Amino acid sequence: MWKGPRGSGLFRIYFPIECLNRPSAFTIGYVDESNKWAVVTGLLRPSESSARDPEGQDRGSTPLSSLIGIWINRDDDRGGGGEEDALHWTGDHSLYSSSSLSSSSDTDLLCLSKTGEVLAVNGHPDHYLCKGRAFEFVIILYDSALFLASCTLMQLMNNSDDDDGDDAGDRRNNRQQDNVQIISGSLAKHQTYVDSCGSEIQKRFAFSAHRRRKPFLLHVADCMFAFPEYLLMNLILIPSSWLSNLRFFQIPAIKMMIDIPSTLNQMKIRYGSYQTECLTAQTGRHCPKQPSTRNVNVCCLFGDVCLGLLTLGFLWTSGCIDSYADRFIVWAEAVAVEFESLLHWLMGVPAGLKVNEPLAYFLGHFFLYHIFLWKAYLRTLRPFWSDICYYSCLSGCLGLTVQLSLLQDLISMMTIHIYCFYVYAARLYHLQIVALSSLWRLFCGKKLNVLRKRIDSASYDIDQLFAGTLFFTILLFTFPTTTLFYLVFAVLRLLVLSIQGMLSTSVSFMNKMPVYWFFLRLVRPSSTAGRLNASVVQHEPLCIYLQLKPISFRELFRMSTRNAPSAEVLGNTWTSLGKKLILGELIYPWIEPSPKSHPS
Amino acid sequence: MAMSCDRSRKKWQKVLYKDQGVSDNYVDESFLEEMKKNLHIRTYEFWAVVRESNVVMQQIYSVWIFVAVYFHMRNFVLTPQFLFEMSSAVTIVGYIVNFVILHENALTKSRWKDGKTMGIFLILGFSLSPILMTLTKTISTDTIYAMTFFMLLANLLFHDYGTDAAIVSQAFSLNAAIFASICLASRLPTTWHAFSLVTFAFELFALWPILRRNLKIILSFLLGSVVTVSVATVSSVAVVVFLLLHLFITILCPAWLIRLQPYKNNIHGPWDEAVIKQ
Repeated sequence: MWKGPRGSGLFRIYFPIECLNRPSAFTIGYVDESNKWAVVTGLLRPSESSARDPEGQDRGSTPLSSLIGIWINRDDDRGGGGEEDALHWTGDHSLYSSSSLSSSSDTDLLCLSKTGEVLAVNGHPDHYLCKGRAFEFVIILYDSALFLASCTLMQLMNNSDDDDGDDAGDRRNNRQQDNVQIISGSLAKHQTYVDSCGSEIQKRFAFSAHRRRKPFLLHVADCMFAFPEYLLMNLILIPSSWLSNLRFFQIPAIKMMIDIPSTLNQMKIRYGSYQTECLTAQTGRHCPKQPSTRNVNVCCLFGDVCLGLLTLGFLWTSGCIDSYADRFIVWAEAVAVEFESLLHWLMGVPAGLKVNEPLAYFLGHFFLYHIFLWKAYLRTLRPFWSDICYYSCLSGCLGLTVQLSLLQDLISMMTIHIYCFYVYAARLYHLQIVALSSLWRLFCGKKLNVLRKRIDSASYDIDQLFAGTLFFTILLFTFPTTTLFYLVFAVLRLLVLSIQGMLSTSVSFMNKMPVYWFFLRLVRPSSTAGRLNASVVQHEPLCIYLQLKPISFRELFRMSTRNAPSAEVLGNTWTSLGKKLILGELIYPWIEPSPKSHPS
Repeated sequence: MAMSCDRSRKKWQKVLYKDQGVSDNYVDESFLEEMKKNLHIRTYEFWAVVRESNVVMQQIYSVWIFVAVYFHMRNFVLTPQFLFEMSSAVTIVGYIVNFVILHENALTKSRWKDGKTMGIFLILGFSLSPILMTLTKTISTDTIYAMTFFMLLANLLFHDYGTDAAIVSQAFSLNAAIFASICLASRLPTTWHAFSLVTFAFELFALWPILRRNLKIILSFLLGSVVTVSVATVSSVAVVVFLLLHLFITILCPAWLIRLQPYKNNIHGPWDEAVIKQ
């Protein structure tokens, strides 16, 4: 007696695989009709009095609000009495539905039964009646113990998958996450339910997906990290996050000053926002006994600091700092000399191109003066340079990432003259392009209508025309010269930027690397679940076994790069780079935008 | 058959909603009855056309004078001071003539505006001349001459000869002429040369057409002889070319136009676009 069209929905019934061999009992769980799923989280043996006085259960101490049905195991050896009880129970269907024992008052009870190797629901092989509507159902078997042990990583994956992901993979992921969320949500509710049950009911549990103890490893990890965490928190992190929340640091000028050098930025990322992460980790945890995010972060920091100390030790003991520092300064001065010869070449006849002599002469001398200042700066820096290098390795105490970002800062400081030249040349070039395009429109007798964003014809005065043509000619003939200077400096700047970009990419990679999960995956794979595997156990009715497999290392690796905002979001694709180059707009280094600030 | 004869005696109407008993591709004798040919034809008289072609010639004279002056300056025949004084004098005379002809009532306002224009122009020209002089030093002369040629051609093409064509763009023609003059001026040796040439070009291409439009007196013979003489002193080949060009535009083209009139075949009919007459 179908009350609706076939296939009006697929009803999913989740059943723990450990329960397949348990004797017959009531099933505890949660049902959601609108989203068409039912999860069984435990089996409750009936009390002795129930067979005779079903209504007596009503007056028990705790209402059995999550009773959703019964489980009949016809294979059970102890089964004889159980089957009778089961038959007895099914005969008294109406009592249970009327006494509002199930989660919703007019739901039909779920009756799962196993005969031999065949599972069935409500005796009907095909459909399940819920609120009078007929659904096709599918039984999904799941490992409750594994789910409880490893809900951690799935949560992490859920959060990270929300941000990005392509469409097809997303749909698949969404379905997977759907299953996971349903199961883990129900398991979490089950935990609280069991904790709130009276002890006599707790004794009656034939099976309960309820973890009493935290796995030993996580315990060990907690202990291991407790003391250093205490140190870190009280000595460094809390003061530093207090510092970063000071009003002083909210001033936009100061904020900009901190954001620009990447060392300070890195330190801010690592240490400054720790407190807020701590706070957010307290809320919204599905599985109560998962390793805290604090442990995760501390582990990350630790790995970082260890590597930094290693590098520091290596650099100090091997004594190569002095020689490298010396060579660096000598190299910097050689670069300055090369720059001068480059400018002289540009002022002459570079590559056979004909540049406008007076302009090239003027620009060349302008830049030569800057080189002169730069050389003076290098000369004053020379005596202190090796000391600076030696003591800046100390920053390894704060982590390898801080050292790398310090190196990046040093490079940018050493190449500041290239940056200056690039900015001058780019501004000049951009100005010239804008003026040329506007004057070309005047040349043709047209004008840009800013309101309508279109070109209109315009009537100009004679002197406007004359002046416009004059300037247009001048700008046109000096354009190749400016272009040449701009191109040379832009290429140099891009070179420096690529080196810096490599450094910052490695720093951000290390920032995001999930070290904790990595080690957990090595030591205890069952705790780290990353993939769901579905295999069909029986066809009629459809029964699927959902297996949790540990996360693969490649997936872990991808996690560290996944959370980076994509290039399109940052606006740094190759086309935009090319466009900026051609138009003469300034190219800023690849700064990852923090959620609060916008990308520069 | 008899019925179709009856129907064909009735006049065939050019409508599609009636079944007139004929096939779809029937062509009636009244086909193209309403077509009219050559409705708005104008008859040209030879000498009138010749006189009107004068307008084009005047502009061509300007171009040739300018080029001749450039070559004279280059050969150091013409000194920049002389050129500047002469062109200023002629400009002032022309301004007064224009003023007299137009009987402008708003005396002071227009004079102030014109004075301002002149002031801006002189200051700009004088201050930018040093830059203009070295602008194209590194570009070869041939390139410069080619650019000048094309710019002056553009000037001739886009000039407003009094017709209503879409190609006319007064600003573009003036700008092209100034561009050409700057190109040539950059070839000259000193700043003074450049400044006087640019001033002369401005007066010739910007101010002279205004006066020309208001004069309505044909100065063609005077101007033509001036041009011939000046060009002749530069090169004889150029004179020959100039005279041939003159003949072509003034005599041949009108004759050609008149000869082609009989071949005109404009058709008008009810299919034309409706023109709303106010």
